[in-house]
Amino acid sequence: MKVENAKISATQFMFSIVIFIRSSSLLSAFFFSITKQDSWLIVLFGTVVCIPLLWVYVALAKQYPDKSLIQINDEVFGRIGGKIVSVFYIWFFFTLTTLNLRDLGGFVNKSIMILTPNTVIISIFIILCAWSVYYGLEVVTRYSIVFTIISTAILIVSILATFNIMNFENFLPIFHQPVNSYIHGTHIISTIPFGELVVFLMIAPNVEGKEKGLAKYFYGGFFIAALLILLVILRDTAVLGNMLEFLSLPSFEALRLATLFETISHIEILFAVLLILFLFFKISILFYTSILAVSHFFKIKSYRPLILPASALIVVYSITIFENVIMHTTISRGTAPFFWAFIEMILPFITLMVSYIKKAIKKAAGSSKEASAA
Amino acid sequence: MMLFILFIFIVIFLIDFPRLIKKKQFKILAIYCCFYSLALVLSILILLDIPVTSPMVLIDSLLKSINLSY
Repeated sequence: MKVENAKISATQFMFSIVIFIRSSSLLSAFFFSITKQDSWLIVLFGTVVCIPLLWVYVALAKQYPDKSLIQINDEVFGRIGGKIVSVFYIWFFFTLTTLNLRDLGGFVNKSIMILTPNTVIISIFIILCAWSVYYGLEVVTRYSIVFTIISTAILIVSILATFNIMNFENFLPIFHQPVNSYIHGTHIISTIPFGELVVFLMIAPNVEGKEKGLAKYFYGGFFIAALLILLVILRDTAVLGNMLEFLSLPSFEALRLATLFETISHIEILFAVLLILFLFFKISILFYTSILAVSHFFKIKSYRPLILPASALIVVYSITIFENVIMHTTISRGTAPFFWAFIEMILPFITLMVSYIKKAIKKAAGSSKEASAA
Repeated sequence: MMLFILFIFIVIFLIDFPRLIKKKQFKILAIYCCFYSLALVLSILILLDIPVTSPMVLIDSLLKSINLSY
């Protein structure tokens, strides 16, 4: 049964992954305070750690080319077991949507519209996302290539504009933190932006021409995004130096210091525009996957009637999820990497292993039947 | 404020609910009602200043109690 018949091209899929990860550059503050000037190393470590993880995702998508993550769970764990596992994923998708929405609300509230209540910003934004989700996957992913080009252009301009205030001594000393903080930082970056790619397993069945090479596009998107994040972090470290760990929005502050030809300054507004674009994209994808997951879970034909009550629920959830930003940051640094790792890494791995074992048992049973028949 | 919230929820209700009844899609209707009532109850609780514990905080304290935290 298919809820959504929309097809997207593999290139759109790849650039959606790029934007999805790139939008998390806002969250770099989570690990900047832990690994300081070595944060760029953390991006490299995180990329290496996530390669086997991506392999698991690609293998799952290859094993069940026409099924989304929720349907795969039903197939692998049986009816009841599959539902139990799926509940985790649905909660995870909704929580991610909520957290990103809250990040966006917090950012707009802190930097642009200081007097507007957070709830108003969040509500207006979710209406926009609901609108794009209503028209389906094609609309959500269509602009991914344009967004990537715009964001890369802005990134290059910002690097040029800040080049005169970069101080490359800010990277020294390298490898001077305790070993634990490297492990902690790698854990955070591999679960909070990179591991969230598990949501793309919901979209993977709708990719056109995936038989030829979904893996290529999955890895390609991931590596481009990791490279862009690496550039952002290198720029922020070179510009801000020791200030990094005290700022909640390092990229925003780095661009605030930039000037171009002495006439163009305050280009941090570019960052703000970019971030809102990115988060619109990310929240739309997350919102879409969470509603799609619900409709696959209950096996209903259309997800569209659920959009409005689900958006109301997400707004209310985003108000109650954390009392304040400090709580958000402490939980995201302290325990969130652990339970995200459970959902993003351990559950897909178990699913893949169980599906392999089931296949092997089927094969053995089939061959023994043949032998007895002969 | 209460009236405003109720007004928004009534608008949401009027957009999709009659159409679902007309089409007799009762399975979707049941899920719709779950989401809708959950959102309504939570928003009223927030308005009345009754503290709602979020699942994130619950899991956080659970993991802290078994020392799985940085």
